[in-house]
Amino acid sequence: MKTTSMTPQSMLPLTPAVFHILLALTDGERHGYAIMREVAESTNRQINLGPGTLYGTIKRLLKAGMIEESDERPAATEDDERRRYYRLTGLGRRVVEAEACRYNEVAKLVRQKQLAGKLAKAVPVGGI
Amino acid sequence: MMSKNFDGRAVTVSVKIYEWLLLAYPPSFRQRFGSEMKQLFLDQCRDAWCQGAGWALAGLWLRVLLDWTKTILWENIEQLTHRPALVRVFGLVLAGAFLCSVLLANFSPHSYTSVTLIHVRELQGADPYFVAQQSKIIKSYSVLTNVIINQRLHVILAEQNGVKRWTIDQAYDYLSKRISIKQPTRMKGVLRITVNNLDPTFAARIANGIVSSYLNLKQQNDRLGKLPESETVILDPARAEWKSRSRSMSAVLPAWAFGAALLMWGVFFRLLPKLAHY
Repeated sequence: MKTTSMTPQSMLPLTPAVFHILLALTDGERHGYAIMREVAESTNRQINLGPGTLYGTIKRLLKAGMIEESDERPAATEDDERRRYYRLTGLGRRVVEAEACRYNEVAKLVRQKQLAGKLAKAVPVGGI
Repeated sequence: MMSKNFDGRAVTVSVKIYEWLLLAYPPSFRQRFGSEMKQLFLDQCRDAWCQGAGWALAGLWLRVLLDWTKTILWENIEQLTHRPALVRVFGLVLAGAFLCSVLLANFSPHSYTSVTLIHVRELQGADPYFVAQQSKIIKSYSVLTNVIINQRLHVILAEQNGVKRWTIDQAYDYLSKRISIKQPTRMKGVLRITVNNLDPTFAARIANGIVSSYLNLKQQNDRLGKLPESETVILDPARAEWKSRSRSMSAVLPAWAFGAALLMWGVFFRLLPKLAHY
């Protein structure tokens, strides 16, 4: 695949939807609905992915080689045959780590400029 | 029991509708992800129903419809961009058509506009529709055919259009489409008669001829007492206006249409796919 030869840095910045889907898969393989719920919970429901957005993004991530469909199924008691499970590839993990580093740099800059306190004061309820 | 039945029915109907909505996605996308999307939507419906019954389900539908609208557009555009040769050929055809229409519009003859202003006033009575009626009389068949016969417009206009001679009715049809009569706002009783023609001198001659023909008809009717007595003053006779030239819409419109289509092609097949990573 053409895109798999690209470096993780060349794929940055990621859109919030892509970043959070990759982030949801760092803990292990998940099916679509589990990814959607994980993204909603981890972002305090600020990112609510619809089915079209979720599977459109999954399609692009599969094509880019950042995720893959898992052959392994969970234990029979937890498994649902109708679902497909997705997991991160090596490239996907490197990309999400690179993006996390980038966010970290941004967070450092925010702290350095003392913006976090100002923003917290400006948005007292719920935060951003 | 009732609630459980209704729960099952609302969710089943929702999923059925969503299954139909999935048909809007490109076939390859539907084949690969359709059943997973349906399963996911079913899970969402069940969760929504458990959380807040009908209202929660309505809220879910609103979010899903917004998502559906956005993603069917992206997915279908992306599907088309997978056939670059077809998109490129389509773009080239549009660019060629745009270029041809611009050239054609540029070489199409100019149309000149002549304007004359007249003031009409009813001497007795105060009919609120008097001015509007005069406007219809000026554009009437009897007034215009008089002008056509007097100025031999059935020959001149026909020659301008590459034909040797027209019938009076053909000339009337042509002329009536190139005349407009309007009442300028804040100028009570004033009628603005506008004539378009390829020749500015003819445009002015026709405009003045229409006023003369209208005045003649009015004089005849005044003598016979058919119409209420009125007064007409020519405020500004038409002159050959070389400056007020324009191209006809039929020449310019294709250029605009192909230009807009080309712009949309660029937006849909070149710009949007680059931004389509939601």
